[in-house]
Order: sequence, then structure tokens, then C-alpha cells
Amino acid sequence: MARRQALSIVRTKFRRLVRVGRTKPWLALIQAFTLATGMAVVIGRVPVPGLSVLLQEPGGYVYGQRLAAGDGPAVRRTVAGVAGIGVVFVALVTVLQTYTAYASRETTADAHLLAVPVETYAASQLLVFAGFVGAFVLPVVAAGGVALAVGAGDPLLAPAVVVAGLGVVALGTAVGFVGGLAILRAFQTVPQVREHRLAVGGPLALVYFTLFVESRRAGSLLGATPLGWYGDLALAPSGAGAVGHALLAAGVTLPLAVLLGAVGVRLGSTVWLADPPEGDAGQTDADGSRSPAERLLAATCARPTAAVARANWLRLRRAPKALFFMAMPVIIVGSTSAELTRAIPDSLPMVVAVYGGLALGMGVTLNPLGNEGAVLPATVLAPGGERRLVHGYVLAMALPGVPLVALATLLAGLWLTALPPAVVLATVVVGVAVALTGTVVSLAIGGLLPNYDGLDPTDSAATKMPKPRAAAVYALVMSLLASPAFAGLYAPASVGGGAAAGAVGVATTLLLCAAVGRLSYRRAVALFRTHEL
Amino acid sequence: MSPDPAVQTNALRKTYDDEVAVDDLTMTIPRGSVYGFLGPNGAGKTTTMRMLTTLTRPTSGSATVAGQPISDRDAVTPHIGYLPEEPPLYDELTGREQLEYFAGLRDVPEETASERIESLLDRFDLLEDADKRIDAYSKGMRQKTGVIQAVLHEPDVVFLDEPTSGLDPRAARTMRDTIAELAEREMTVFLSTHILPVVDELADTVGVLHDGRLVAEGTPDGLKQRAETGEQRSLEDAFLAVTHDPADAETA
Repeated sequence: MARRQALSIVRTKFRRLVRVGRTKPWLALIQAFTLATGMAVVIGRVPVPGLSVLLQEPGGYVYGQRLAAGDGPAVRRTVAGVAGIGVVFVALVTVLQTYTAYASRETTADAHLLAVPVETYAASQLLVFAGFVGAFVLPVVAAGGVALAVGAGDPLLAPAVVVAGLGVVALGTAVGFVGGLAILRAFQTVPQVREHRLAVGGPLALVYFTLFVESRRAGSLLGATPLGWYGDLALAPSGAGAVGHALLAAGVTLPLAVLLGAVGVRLGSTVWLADPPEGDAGQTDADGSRSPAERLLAATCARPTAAVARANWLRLRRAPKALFFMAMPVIIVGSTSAELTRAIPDSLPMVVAVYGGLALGMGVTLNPLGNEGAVLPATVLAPGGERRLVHGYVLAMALPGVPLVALATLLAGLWLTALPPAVVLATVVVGVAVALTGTVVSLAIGGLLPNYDGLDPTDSAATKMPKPRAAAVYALVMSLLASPAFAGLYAPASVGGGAAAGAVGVATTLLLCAAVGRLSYRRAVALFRTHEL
Repeated sequence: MSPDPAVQTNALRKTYDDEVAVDDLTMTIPRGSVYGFLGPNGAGKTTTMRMLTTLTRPTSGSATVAGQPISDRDAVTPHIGYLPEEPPLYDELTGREQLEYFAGLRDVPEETASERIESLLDRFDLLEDADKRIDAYSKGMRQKTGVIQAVLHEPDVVFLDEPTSGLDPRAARTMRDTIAELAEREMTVFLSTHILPVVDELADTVGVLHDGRLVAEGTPDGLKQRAETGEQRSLEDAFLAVTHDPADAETA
């Protein structure tokens, strides 16, 4: 009975997800693209004419060949590293899923808890999370396994890799489920943890993004732990993996996952049926006082503009999840930036400047319509609301953000490069111009591509993540704005680089910023003015 | 010369593709009156309110609110207040901060705003909770905060979409008294609700929208006279009579 109920919940959840995918082809396309990219990366370079241009990095196929050539230990290290990253990645994604599923208080949760035993509901949630992660991870793992098997000429490697992948998903999901629920329980019972939840989420987000940006280092670190034993399991048919480790991974995974699952079910029962924390019923942290920045704003800006900026700051401070969106550039341009700074180390300050502008936009201004939520009608009905909204958002982002970008760029230039002071200064100027322009560019792009997804009338005013398409377009525009200065400042003398080229590049970027900024401002105001609900 | 009516529409029409939401809506609402806007679910009430508040453009026809054409948002917005069905509030702010924010956005002088906010919070029994975050508010408290926000700048015309929804009897009474008082101050109240006794008690004129068309308009007593069924000849009987669909009756 319980199993049938749990499976029914899981089936319904996935049916809903499929239907969402059908009604939002862009979302389905992005998911398909992500899946295809993941598969291409794990397959890697293959001896197929044309494809070698696209897939240059070594992947499953090349490592399979190396395995056949007797380079087992090196291949084992790589595969163990990938397995270790896999477990941590799946666990972190599951922590996030567990937290957001609870925090969004899906309206059907209470109905489920009244219809089935809480243990059944908890088990169904675990299965949903595992199914969701598995749907993305296992096809990628299978593609890597097939590539490895073909490269090594050993067909048994493909199913071994899939079995190891199943272990990674099972263990990672179970750990993440327990971890996510433990965090939720800590938020419920320890006011200090709840108050400083950013201190809990921040390091987790840092680990998550480090997995992408510093994948080589993360792989060698995690591959040396027992998490790397799944690499031994994947390579078991070839004899390259340690047999003992492979057997342990195969034998321990299921009981461990079941044990963790049982702990998770128990924790879930306490989390979902807990009373709301006492403090939440009467948060009275507002004493009506104004910070120095707010007082400065009130003294120097029009009252409506100051009101918009202050409301933005208050919302960011009290619901800091928007600050996590600042990490989106890492996903979009992280690996490119890492490669760029490896190839041209002196470009680091410019990368910092552009990244700063991107992060500010993605955290604060790239989804103004979605962030306003149900308040939007009231905002646009304020006389001149569209201009005030744009001015307020620009101030909210620029006042703390642009000086921070300038400082970070300056410090990166002075401490981490041997660039002449004049070039560092020029880079800071470019950083300020790009970040400032980014405020209005992001508002215009966000106005064109708003994200209302998940707009729940009962939680309508919470900030929403910008649309990935908006984030990609924003990253492209910002990169284009900085590119003349980048080319001018860092081009080697052999291809025309030098002081003159640097000056021309910086001037071009500043002109571009002025033109694009003006256009974006007008566009953003017009978008809000003509916005219909 | 008599002043412009508070709301005047002329053959107002709104379509979404082939779907007609509002059709040939012509009405005149004098200043300082309470207009009860009734209609079954999906009749086009919210679409009408959105057109009149400039949030949606009509497909054809014209209208003025407080003498300003609805095609000119900048001209209309200083004169109106609007409470949508879901109160437009930021969950992260406190009630007082929310009201200060909108007073600031509408450029109400700070001192005036403070006085009005205190007075309205007191009137709606929200003073004690004014410094709690809105995400901890009950539905009724949210609704009351939304109403205060809609009238804070003392608009000429206020559009209220189901203002008594979710309120307990005491709060509903306060809301009804407030609406009556707004009308006494020459503020025009455009009141959309399903709660017929509220309209019966407060409205000077009642308009009934059915399938996007205004099918009846008059004083509550006048409409009751049109009731063809029911022993009491209540507003409910009148409403059911004018929104009666013969096709439904035949198939029933």
C-alpha cells in the first residue's frame, strides 16, 4: 500500500514535469542542451571527421584507449575523481531540491500529508529527487561508459560504468536528502542558524561552483577519498581499479543508501510536521531607523527613487537568496574566464571587473518585473512609476556595487598582476563604466525577458531567479562592451598592442558604454511604461 | 457646467484572440458614489478594472477616469488607487515599511504620510503588528494593508477588487465603514465583489456584468424590482435573474 502510494506521488510529479516541459519549449530545449553538452564532454575527443573540432578535450573514448594501452593508474585517477565530484554534485543538488521543495511550501504538500503517512510522503520525495537527478546524470554516465568501452575495446566497461553511476546517484541523493533535511531542522530549531542562513548556504554554494571552476583540483582531491571507489567499480572489468575498493563500493552502497534514506524519512517526519518557528510569527527586526546609506539616499535623491532603492535593499537583506543569483556568471562564463586567465594572466583584473558587473546585474536587476511580482500593478500605477522604478533599481545596485567592483578590480590588478599602474587604473575605469552600464542593460534585458515562473499569488513578492536566456544575453552584451578595452590593453606588441592601442580600446569601450547605456535606459523606461498585465 | 464623471466608458471592448472578455461596455459613474460591480466568475470584471486602471489596453472603445483618458497612463495614475484581488505587498517588508514605501513612491510628503499611515493603521487595528514582516500576516491583515495602500494618497477614484475577501466579521465591518466614509469624502469607489449584502448596503449604483456585457444597471432597490424569482426579491434574486442563461436552463 505504502509503496503504491509513494510511486503514485512520484509518477504524478514526473507527469507534471513532462507537461511543464511541453508548455515551455525553451525550458525543455535548455535541459536538452545541458544534457547534450554533458554527454559531449564525457565522450570527449573521438576520431570522427568534423567532430574533433567540436570535441577537443579527452573524454571517455580517449581514456578507454589509454586504458587499452596500459595506462590504467592514470585513467583510474581521472575516473575516481569524476566519481568523487559526481557524488558531491548529486548531494549538493539534492540538498538544494530538499530545501526549495520545503521552502516553496508546495500547496499539495499538506494534502499529501493528510492523505498518506508522513513516512510514505518522505520516501516519495526521496524517490522524486533521485529520479530527477538520475534523469540528468545517468544518460551522461551511460554515454561516458559507452565511449570508454569503445575506446578500450571492452564492452563490459559500459555496464560497469552505469552500475557505478547508479551507486553515485543513490549515495549522493541519500546524503543530500539527509543533509537538506538536517539543515531545515536546524533552521527550525536553532534561531541563530536561521538568522544567519546565508552563512550556511554560502559555503555550500561555493563548493558547488568550485566543482565546475576547479574541476581538476576537486577531482584529484575527491578521487583520493572513498568516494573515488566508484571509479574502481566502473573500471572493474579492465582490472585497472582496486578490486577491494570496487567490491566495497558495490556492497556498501545499497545498505548505506537505505540506512540514510531511513534517517531521512525520520527527519522528514519531524521537519514537515513541525510547528513554524516561534520567531517567524512576529519578526520585529524593523525599528524604523535608517542606515547611513538610506539617509544619504533620502537627502540626495527624489523621494520616490529613494523609496524604490530602500525597498530593494531591505528585501535583499531579509531574503538574501537573490544574492545567490550573483553566482550565475560562474556557470555561464566561469570555465571560459578560467581558461582566459590561464592563457593571459594579466587579464585577471578585467575578468574581475566584467564578472563584478555581471554578478551585480544577475543578483539585483536582471528580473525587475518578476521580482516585483504581485506588487507590479501598484508600482506601475504610481505616477511616473516606470522612471522611478528604473532609477531606484539602478541606485540600489550601483551605490554599493560599483565601488565594490572598482575596489576588487584595483586589488586584483595591484596584487595579482605585474601590470603598470596606468593599465590597472584604466582597467578600473573600464570596470566602473561596464558595471554602471550593466545596471541599465540588465534592466532592459530583464524587462524584455522577465521570469514570472513560480509566481505564486501567496508568495508573489519573493525574488525570482533571472531567466537563463536573459542571463546569457546579458553576459554576451557585457563581454562585448569590455572587449575593445580587453583587446587594446592585453594585445601583445607583435599584433599591434601598446599604449596607443590600449587608449583606443578603453576609449571605444567607454563610448560603447555611453551609447548602449543610454539606449538601454530608454528601452527599460519604455518597457515599464507600456507593460501590460 | 457639471464636473466630469468619475468613470465614463464608451463601447469599451477587450478581446484575447477570439475570446471576448468585455464587450460594448458603456457606463457613467458620478463622482463621490459607490459603484457595485457584480458578475459571475469570468464575466470580465477584473479585465474591466484593469482597463480602467490603465494596466491593460482596450481593444476598442474609450473611457475616462477622473476626466483623464485611460490611454494616458501618466494622466490617470495620480487620480486612482487600486487594490487587486491579491494585495500587492512585498513579503519581506513590514506593514509600516510597505506603506512608507508606497507613500514615497507616490511622493506623499513625509509628514503627511506618517500621519495618514498611523491613523489608518489604527483604524484597521494594525498598529500593534505594523512592525512585523508581511510574510507573517494573516490573509485579513494583508487585505487591510492593501486597502490602506490603495487609499493612502487620497485618490479621486479607488478600485477595490473583492476588498472584504478573507476578512473576519469585525474587519469586514471596518472595511464597509471605511468604504462609506471614502464616499462621504467625495472619493468614488468602484467596488467589485461577490458578497451581495456589501453591495446592497453600500452601493449607490449596481452594474451587473455577464459574459462581458453590462446586462443590468441601477440602484440596488431598482434591481431588486427586476427579480422575477424568489420570495424576498433580494439583490441575490435579481443577480440570478439577470445573469440567467436560458441555454443552461434548457440543458439542466
